[in-house]
Amino acid sequence: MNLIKSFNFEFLKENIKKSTGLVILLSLVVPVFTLLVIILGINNTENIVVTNKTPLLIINFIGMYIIPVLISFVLFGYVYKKSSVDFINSKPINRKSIFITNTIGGILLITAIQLITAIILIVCNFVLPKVIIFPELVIDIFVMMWVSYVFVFLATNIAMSLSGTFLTQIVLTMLILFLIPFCMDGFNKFSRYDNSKLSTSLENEVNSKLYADSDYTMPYQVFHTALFFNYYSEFDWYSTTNILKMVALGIIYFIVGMKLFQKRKMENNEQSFFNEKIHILVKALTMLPVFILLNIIKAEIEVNIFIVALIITYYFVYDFIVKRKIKFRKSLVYLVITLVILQITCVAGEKIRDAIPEKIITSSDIAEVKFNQYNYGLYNDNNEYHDYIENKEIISLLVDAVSKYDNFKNGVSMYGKTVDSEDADGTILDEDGKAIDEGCFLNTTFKLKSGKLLYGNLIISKADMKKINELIKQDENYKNILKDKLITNNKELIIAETYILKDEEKNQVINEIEQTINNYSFDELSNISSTDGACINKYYYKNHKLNVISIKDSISPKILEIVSKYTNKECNSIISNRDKNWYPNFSVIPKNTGKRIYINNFDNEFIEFIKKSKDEEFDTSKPYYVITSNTMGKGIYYYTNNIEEIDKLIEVEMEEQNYWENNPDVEIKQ
Amino acid sequence: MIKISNLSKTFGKKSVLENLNCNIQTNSIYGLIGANGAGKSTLLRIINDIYKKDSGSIEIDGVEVEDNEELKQKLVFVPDDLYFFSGYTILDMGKFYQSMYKDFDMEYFKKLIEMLKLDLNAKIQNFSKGMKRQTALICAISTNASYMFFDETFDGLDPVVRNLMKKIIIKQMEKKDTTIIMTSHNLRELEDICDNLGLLYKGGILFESDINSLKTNMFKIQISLKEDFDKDKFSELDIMNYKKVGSVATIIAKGNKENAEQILKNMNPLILDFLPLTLEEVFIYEMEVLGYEFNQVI
Repeated sequence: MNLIKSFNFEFLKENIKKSTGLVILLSLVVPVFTLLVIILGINNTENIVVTNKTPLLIINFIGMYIIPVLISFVLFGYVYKKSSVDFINSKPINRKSIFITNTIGGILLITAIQLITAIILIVCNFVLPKVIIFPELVIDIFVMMWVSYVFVFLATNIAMSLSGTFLTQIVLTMLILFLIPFCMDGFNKFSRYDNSKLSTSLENEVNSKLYADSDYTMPYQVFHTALFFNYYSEFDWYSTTNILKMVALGIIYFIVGMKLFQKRKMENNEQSFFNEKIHILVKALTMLPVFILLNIIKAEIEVNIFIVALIITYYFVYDFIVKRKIKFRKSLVYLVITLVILQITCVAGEKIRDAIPEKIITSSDIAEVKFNQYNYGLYNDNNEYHDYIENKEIISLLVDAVSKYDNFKNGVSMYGKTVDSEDADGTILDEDGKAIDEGCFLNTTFKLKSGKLLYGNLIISKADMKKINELIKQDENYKNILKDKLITNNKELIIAETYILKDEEKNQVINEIEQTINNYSFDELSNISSTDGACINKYYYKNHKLNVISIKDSISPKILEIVSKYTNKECNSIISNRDKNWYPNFSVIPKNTGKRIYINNFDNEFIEFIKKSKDEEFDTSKPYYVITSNTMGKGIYYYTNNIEEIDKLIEVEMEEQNYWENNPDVEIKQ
Repeated sequence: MIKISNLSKTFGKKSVLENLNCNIQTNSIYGLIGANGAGKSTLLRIINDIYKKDSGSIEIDGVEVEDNEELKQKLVFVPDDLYFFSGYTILDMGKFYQSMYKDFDMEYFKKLIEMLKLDLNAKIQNFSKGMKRQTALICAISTNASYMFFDETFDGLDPVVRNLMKKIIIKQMEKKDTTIIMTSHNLRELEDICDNLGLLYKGGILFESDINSLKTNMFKIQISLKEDFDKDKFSELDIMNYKKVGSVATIIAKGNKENAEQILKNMNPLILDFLPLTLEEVFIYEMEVLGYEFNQVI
């Protein structure tokens, strides 16, 4: 009630009116550029684009560091000049009302920016036929970015209340947003790596360790992720902890900002801080991150001398830029004191960190475990069947593995295997580098009872991997999770990434799976996506994440019919409109052998075959081949029962390739 | 009434106002003079709750000013350094004042703009310094606030507009029983408009009086007598300054002018002239009595 009472709409209206142009620009920049990102995204592909968070957040993230700060400057900018301070503060509105009015005004502007962005995303979903943006994703983006923008805005308002120049307000805002988490990172994270290989050693060092997701506030989280992002993280931008933290801190920032604004010395304009001591303190705090890095890197003496020289130069340049004058002798004394205090702070920080005992995770701390799948260069839980399971045996087997092996030689790939793969592609070594067992990496996420996530690439022996697989197959809950993924949350089903199923077709597919799913074995369920034909990708949004699960075309005749009907039509259309210089590079997948045969010499014959078979009805009950190709990232699939003719073409092709002897098992099993 | 008691303000280590005491009566024009840096603008800013005081109290109509939104409806301040929202026209500015002040008189505002031959729809940023000053003063006057504070009131105004503005201010004072506090470092600007004057020096009010009594109580006499004379001859007068060049003495005296005239006429002077004193001269002699050099103070 007090907030509403203190809100002065007329004042806000005039305050915004004076900067109408800038306000309009600030309001539109994020929505317009986000729209451009979407348009550019669909221009680069022939496929349907099911949009995930990251591309939609790029502009919003950049805006997060600029727009709320500029909004604060627009609304509170009058504090820079004596004339505008006189003008505003002499009006019949008290400081509390000014602060509350401007803060609410800023929040309303941020709401408008995020609302316009959300509306544009929803409109894109309806207007652009190639784009799918889930409404839940739009809501998530709205919530996380609204909270983040408001958070940055409130932090800037504190800087506005304390300082009197644009530059120092920027410096202060950055300190409020970044200093504490950076110091925490500095003491905790940087120092865990080999000091001499700070930037290059990240990936190698984390292989056998478990990592916890960090719950920083969004402005620092973006910075942190850019700095520490690794393939093992299943970090997703949406974090409830992160949001709650920003809300709680935002409330504190609001109260602190208001109190400081009420007590602000309005004569403090056009100078950094009214109090010289605060100026020196702020300057020292800006140097703290460099000091932490220096202490962690423990570089050569020459490098240290060079950096210290830079710090000293910075110390005086800062004064010159901010205060436009340098009191050399006085500053020199303060500089010496500052350097000593900063060094003591860094040493004390490290001592405190070392004194805190490291928490050792036991299997009793872990609630659930999940295996991740390597996909498109990143570990994520998008295109996979695995989900959290509570199997105690598996958990304790994995926890043992964490401490058991440290040394591993992997000749193939550093990325972890999927849990259903039992191939060992590496060798576990002892401390002396002697081989002791076959093994592989297994990318695993533990969900602790506290809710925290720990993730890492664990070294697992071949025998343990086999044991885990057996345990999973016996786990009924796990099977149910797989079923749930297939049946529920039927949001968008897309054939071959190019055709969105209509509601009626969608229901047919889901009904078909529902009716047959109980007949599937575990292997069938977990292999459901292993297809060389045109699968149906099912996209759904759950737990603030975009998920995709592939449904095999041959899972049932009905599904095969739906898939083939579309892909054959699409293939005919592409072939009839093809460019003369088009080299399709067909391959043939004979069902049910699954062995793909590549066509290198007789593409034209295959084109003629498809053209000739245009009016043929595809019968799902008969044996069939799939002729497939990929053009500009778009999959082409042609289903045909005319296997005799295809065989003849393959035969010629094989002869030509002198391939026949090497592939004697290409045959049709009816 | 504005009652200022023991008001102190420092900027860093520099004391600007120190235990300042002052009472400003309602429905009067109070001129605040002082040299640059004497603290005139700071005093006005503290009264208007722009700067926070370090100690002391300021009461207007018996109510403390600080953080009092309701009371601030009664106050309007035109600072020395003028500020207008970028891109605003006079009308926009009028509307802004109208949105802030409950008693803002838009009709009167437009009338004054017309009277001063300003264009209501012209952008203020293109105005000359004088036109900006006129706009600011008109906006303030149209608020009908009970207390108006004008810092360096007539700065940048040409003599014609200055006189017109003085008339407008006086009329406003008569119309609404307004109390106007204006500052200047130039005494001549204030002498024909102010009822009371306060001289601010080194953070305090050094001297305060109403102009009428100042002017009527002090007079300049030029006198020459048949016989030789010195200052003692005029011991019956309250002499503030005495100078004799040849046989003619110039006396600055305080008190009742008629009595003084009668006393001097009784001496059968060869020359006896009573000359008017400018306010500046009155101040010079008052300062001398207090032991200050006028040039140091203003």
